[in-house]
Amino acid sequence: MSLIEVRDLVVNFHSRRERRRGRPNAVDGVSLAVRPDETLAVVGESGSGKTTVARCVAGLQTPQAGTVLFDGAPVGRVAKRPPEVRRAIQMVFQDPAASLNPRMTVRSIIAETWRTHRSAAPADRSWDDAIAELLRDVGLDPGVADRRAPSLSGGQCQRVSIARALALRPRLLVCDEAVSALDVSVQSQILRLLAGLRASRELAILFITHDLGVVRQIADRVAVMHQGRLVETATADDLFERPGHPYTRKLLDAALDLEGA
Amino acid sequence: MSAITVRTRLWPVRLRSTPAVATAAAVVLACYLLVGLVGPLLIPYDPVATSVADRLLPIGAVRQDGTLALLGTDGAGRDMLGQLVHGARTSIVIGVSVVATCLAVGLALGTLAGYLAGWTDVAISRLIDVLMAFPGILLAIVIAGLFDQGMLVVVLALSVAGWVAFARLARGLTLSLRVRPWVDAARLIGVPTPVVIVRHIIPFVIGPVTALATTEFAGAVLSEAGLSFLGLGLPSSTVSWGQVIANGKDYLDTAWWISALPGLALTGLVVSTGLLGDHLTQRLGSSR
Repeated sequence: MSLIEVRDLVVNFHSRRERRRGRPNAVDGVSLAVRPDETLAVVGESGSGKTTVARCVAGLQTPQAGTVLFDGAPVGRVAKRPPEVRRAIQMVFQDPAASLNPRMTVRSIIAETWRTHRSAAPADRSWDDAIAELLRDVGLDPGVADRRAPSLSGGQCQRVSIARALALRPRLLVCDEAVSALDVSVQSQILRLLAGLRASRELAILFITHDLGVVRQIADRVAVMHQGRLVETATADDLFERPGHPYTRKLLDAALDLEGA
Repeated sequence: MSAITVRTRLWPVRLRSTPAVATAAAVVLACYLLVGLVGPLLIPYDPVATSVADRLLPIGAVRQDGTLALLGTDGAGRDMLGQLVHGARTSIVIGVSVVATCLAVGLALGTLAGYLAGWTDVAISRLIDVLMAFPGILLAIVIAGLFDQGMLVVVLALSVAGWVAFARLARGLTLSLRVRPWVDAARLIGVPTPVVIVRHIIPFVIGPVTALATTEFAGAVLSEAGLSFLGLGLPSSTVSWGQVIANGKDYLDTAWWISALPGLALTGLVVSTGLLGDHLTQRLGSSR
């Protein structure tokens, strides 16, 4: 069974009157599913609606129509979700520095998750020990705990974001362009980290990106979005070998052009 | 051919808020604070005790009992220095109370409106619009006129319209802060809304709001003087610069010092607060 399933999602950011005049939907009837152990990448150009799909899954955006099912049960926006569901879906954002409150230390950022979800807090040892271990798991020095976001690099910020998400032992990690703001060598480090965590923590990942190179590195399956619609879903191997939809082919050609140049 | 033209300012000399000016303003303010807090303890003054023999003494004159009236006396023979010093305390106490009230109410309502959006925002924003459409001093006059004279009534009357500026500023900043990813992350974790506002929004709003507080302080001091000048402010048992100015208006041609001295004191306080406020706005104006 799918861990998370999206059915016929419709989101429109325009006012009701403009919608009647035929302004297009940002997301127009998208359905997709993520299995408990896979990485699904959603690709598409800017404005294709992929981030909006991610925000609906996380519950940060309320769709006009359609449902999001978690473990087969429909879930609404984040404030209305039961604590267990809320805990199970965590997110890593695009802007590394802005993902962390610049006035808070890494320690208090991670501790905030446990203060909110007592059931996820480490019971058998001190929080400081648990934070140090978590930071080591994401490849950071435990000494980072006392620093704040403005003194960290983009890659370090993103690792802290991942640590914050993992602190709640989620089952689905939504990565919204999580490596787009990083330079290429840091990108592949973070991608390797995510792949490793996925294996060791039984994590499903919904990975939003515009970068097909990233897709090839991390995705099991790929969903291609174009102008709010899903145009193709395929396994990663199939997509790169035998792209079905003309738009997918165009995307691949554009990516190859860049690599060749 | 294109050329870069440098337009010279019409008024090249302008009192800009340089660090030096701001420091000077801060020193002046500190003096006012010191006079207002310590002065009344050193210089006893009784606003009810009058002395007909010592009426309208000019600056530096000697009273009947041989003591020096350093800044002269008013139409009832009361010491001007004592009035200025006690009036300073009144102005500071009123200004600080009004700003504290306005800041607390404005910050709470503004961040709530900006963060919750929807109906809360509509309700608070319309209330702000209504209060903005009404001259604040007029509202204060009406409220002060309705109740018995007193410190609390004056503070309330000036706060009713005063919180609006804080609320507008806080709301605007919150609107841009609530879409920051760290706020989204807190919502995803399930941090309760009041905690999100206090921990993830207010620390970034408080700087600009503090800068605004200085200018609002100047406004509150002026408004209090205005109310007292009209006889709607404080009871005559409390010294207020506004009252002193009003007392002196019959003697403007013969005993100018009665109105002029508290007027000068008021100007100095308001101008130095404004200059310091400009500087703080430059330093703390942005939300990060």
